[in-house]
Amino acid sequence: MTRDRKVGLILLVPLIVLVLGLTVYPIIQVISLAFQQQGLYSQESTFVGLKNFASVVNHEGFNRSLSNTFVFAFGSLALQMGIGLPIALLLNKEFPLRTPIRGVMLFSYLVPYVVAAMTWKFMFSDSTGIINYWIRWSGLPIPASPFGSLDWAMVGVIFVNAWKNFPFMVIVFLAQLQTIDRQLYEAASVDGATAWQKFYKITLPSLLPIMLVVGMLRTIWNFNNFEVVFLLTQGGPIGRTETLPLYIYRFVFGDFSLGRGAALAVIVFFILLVMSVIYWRLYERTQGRFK
Amino acid sequence: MTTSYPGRAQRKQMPSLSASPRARRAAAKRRFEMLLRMLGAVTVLMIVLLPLFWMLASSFKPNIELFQRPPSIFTANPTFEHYVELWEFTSFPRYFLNTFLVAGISCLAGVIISLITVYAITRFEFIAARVFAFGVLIIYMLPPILLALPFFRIWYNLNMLNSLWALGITYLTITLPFSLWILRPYIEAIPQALEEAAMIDGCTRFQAFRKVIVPQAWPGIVASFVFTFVVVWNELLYSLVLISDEAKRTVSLGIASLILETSVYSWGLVNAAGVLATVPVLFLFAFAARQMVSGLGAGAVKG
Repeated sequence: MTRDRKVGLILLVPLIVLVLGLTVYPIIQVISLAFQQQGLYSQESTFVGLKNFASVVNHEGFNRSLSNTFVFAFGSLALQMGIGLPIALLLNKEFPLRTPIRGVMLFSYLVPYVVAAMTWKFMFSDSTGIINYWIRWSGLPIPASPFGSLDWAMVGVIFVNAWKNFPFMVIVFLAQLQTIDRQLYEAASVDGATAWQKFYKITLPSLLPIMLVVGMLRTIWNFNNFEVVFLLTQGGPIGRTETLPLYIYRFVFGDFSLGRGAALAVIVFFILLVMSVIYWRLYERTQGRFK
Repeated sequence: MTTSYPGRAQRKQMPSLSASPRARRAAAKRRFEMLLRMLGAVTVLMIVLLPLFWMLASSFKPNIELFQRPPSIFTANPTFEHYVELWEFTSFPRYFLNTFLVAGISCLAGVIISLITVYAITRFEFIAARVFAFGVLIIYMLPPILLALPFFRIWYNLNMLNSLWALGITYLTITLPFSLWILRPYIEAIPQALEEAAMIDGCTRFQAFRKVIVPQAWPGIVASFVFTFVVVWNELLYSLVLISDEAKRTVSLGIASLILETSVYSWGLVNAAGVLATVPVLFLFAFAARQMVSGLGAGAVKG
């Protein structure tokens, strides 16, 4: 048995080395950078204590990008769930060609972010866009090119993020829906329950735990999302859609201030750490309940 | 994903012209419900496919028609000029090669290391599964922008910015957590008795691993490879930060540069590039749809 344990230890070495090199060391480095004044390409650095943290938190863009991030993360989550839940309920029902439709529904989740951003930008563009043309033609009170509009840019990026990621919700909900015992519905029918009562009393309670967990997971991913906003608006117009990842990117690769960018990244990391702990607690609680 | 419903067969056998009006009403209601479901499904397909269809249609339009108002849905004069331009006058062929290379390196390495690690954890049990799962989860949750900064610095210090190897190694932070999550249930499901039997029959531990574990876990291996390949293929942030040399770009970065660097871009060219960037992903999906769906949900539902 001791020889076996030795074999096991040796087998774990590659992962341990990689986790140390690719996660632990970079995190230590980013934390230490946060306490230094450090240019992007310069070798010398000076220890400045908490000055970087103070300067980023007091920077005029910080509150704006923090609130933008929460609006973007929770707005996207609401829309992703709002689209995902009815579609999952629909695809759980029986109708012709259901299996291929389930597959095609995943396409938007599979295509690269650049493709998703490019096609929507193209369709809303002023000179070439088909949706832009339809909106102008129909006279609806929404801007034909939302990504350049002060009030609608955030709605636009949330919409594209929801389009890209709603199939994830559908997959998870569908998997859960299929575990519900069909006899429950039959018993409810015998007792004369309406469709709404069946949804409210059977479907929703069994989806709720997974909704909490997926909601948390998706919130964190939305929080971290860089691509959608960067490709569609680059944080504009005048910072209306600038989320924290873009704000960090601008500090580091726009102003070449690695130290301040690192300080911001550490702040984001702690926000996410708190969210992850909550996620983990929820996850364990739901696991415990359903064992 | 498919489930068969016992009710279906019975329903079909039921004569549609049954005597009682009540049964007829019920049948009409069922037909109406079916119609609603079909309508809903068509709407879902429209939402998902409209942008992709529009991209495909536009990539074959001559430049004049791209700016035509009202926009035509199908072009009367389809042309391959954007694809030809992309192939002959841009570096996109190079970008495709680069991306295949980088994704290949990081996905293969990710799957092999995950296979070894999960095997060690499930067979020797010295790390509590809880610690393992939580650790992987943390890596999974790390903001890419947080890691992008130190990675930029590390590769800069090693003079390896603009290296595809450096990019591939960096992508291990993405591929490893995914393949660990996806592979674990597959390997846990293999009964230990199977290997023990092989070892009693004279196999070494390595032979038992190769002849028992690898074939048994093969669907999981395919699932992790295909899934992480798509994730890496689609990745943008790390390549944006680590690659500035035009010849070393990945496909995503190439398209992003087309969108971002020029204010008046050739939409035909961008659409053609988008189509070509989508083809490998959908091809892999067609090839391994079932495994990929299991991968998609892996992080969220399976423990």
